Amino acid sequence: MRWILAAMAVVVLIAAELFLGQVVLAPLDVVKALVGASDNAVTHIIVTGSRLPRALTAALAGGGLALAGLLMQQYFHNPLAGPGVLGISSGAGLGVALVVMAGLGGNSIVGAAFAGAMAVLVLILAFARRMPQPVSLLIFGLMTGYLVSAVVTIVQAGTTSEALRSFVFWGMGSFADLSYGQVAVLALAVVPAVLLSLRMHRRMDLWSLGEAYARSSGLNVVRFRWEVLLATGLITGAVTAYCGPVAFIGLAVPHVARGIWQSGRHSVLVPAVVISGMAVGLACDLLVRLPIGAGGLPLNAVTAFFGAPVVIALLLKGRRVF
Amino acid sequence: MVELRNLSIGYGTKVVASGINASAEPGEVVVVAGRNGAGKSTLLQTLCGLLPRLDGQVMVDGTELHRLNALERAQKVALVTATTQLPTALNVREVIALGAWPQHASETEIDRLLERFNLTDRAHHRLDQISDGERQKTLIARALVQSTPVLVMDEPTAFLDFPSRVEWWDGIRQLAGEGKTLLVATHDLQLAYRSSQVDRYWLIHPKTKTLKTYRTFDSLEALVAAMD
Repeated sequence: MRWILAAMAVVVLIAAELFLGQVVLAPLDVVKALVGASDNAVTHIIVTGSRLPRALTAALAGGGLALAGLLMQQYFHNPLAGPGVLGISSGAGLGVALVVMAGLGGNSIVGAAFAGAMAVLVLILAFARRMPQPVSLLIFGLMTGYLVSAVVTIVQAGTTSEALRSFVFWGMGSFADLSYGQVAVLALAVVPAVLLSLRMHRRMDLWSLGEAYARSSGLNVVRFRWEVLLATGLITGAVTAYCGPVAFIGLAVPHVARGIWQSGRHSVLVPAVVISGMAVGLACDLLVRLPIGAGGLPLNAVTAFFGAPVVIALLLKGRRVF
Repeated sequence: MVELRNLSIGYGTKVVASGINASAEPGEVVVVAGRNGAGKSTLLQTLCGLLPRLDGQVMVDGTELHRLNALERAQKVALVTATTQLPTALNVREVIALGAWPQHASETEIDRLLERFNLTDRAHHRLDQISDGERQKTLIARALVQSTPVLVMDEPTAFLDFPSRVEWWDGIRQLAGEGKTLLVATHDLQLAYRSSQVDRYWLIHPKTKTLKTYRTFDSLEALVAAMD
């Protein structure tokens, strides 16, 4: 029942993404546009050129970030971990800061974000061998994040207000304006990470008993760690590159899914978190598109309005958050 | 059978104890004791393969433990630790089943263990919804599913109340009775001694950094005195 409701929520939200907006479209017009039978060029462009890639981006990024959050929370045994803890989004931020402050924009922002994210991921993977304890890696990630943010601040301090404005806008996050090619790249990062996580589900169950039990049960912890880092890095790098540093989805959605599905088994949790993340990504994007303010609400404000109360509500209900 | 041959244990270059020669037969209960910091946990972690040995050999049924890969080692030695909480949302049944990892545990075996440890009505409770004693039983049941000749227990009674500790020590023979060698690090020496269930004491002496084996003690005072 929970699965059916979750799947229905995703379908309804995708439909809402396609139907609703500044121009409200009739369902038949949307279907016609989707199958390429629309006789209205404007409708066709709105649906296939703007709303569909945006909905796909929101679903992919939402599902991906939620999964990355689950992986980090489970790996570090820390309910406050999220995709950002490894410093990967900060790396993306640095790439973007450098490009924006140099007066560049457009596709170079995506390329720079991706390069920055991957640089930090490579750094983490290179140092991972020297830090067998998960908590050391967690601290390494946080410190990398601080260092990179410090560099970003220095770059910001010596720049023009226009460039600063571009960087601030990137930092607000957005699921809009991706081409189908970019959506495909996003999918190429997120889908393999989901499949890899599904393949790891029993190992993640074992890891949830703690490192001593996992290792004494024969788990190859080195390989497990690489797979977790790779899946998280791929998702966070790609999503941050295309959508900016989207906050809170990765942190909050795993808690929501745990609350709804009431299971500690990762064969349930992984798909549950992905489908919940898709729904939350889509729902947040719909709120972003509400005609409030000059250009709608910033995505990161909406995700924070969703995420923070959810975690607080779980705490107030006395439910174990982890 | 467990044999420690000229074993040195420690972390990196720090030697905690060396020249350890000791053995234990199948079905025996061995208490590993020593003052705080003497190296009980270091020894047990080395015996589980969680720490590399600095020198010497750990033999289990004639196989050198540290020459095995993690999965092969897990078929020789299982671990039970003291714990108030584990970072898991799995339920009792799921945790016990994980003992068979990477294989799948038989449902009949899990049912049998649930019944044996009086956990049947707790089977679908998460580990944070049961008592410390029940959690400890769950972890022992998980280790039994791992089906190893050696069971290593690090302070298994640390978070149990007094009656549960007495019950635990009096019932420990049942676990060893399955032909397993039980290596138990504990500070509950008075209960272990009182239970008359212990076949050997491995005492780690912090001053000499060596381990001595004792089969029995005339009194609890003699046991305590032997620890210095």
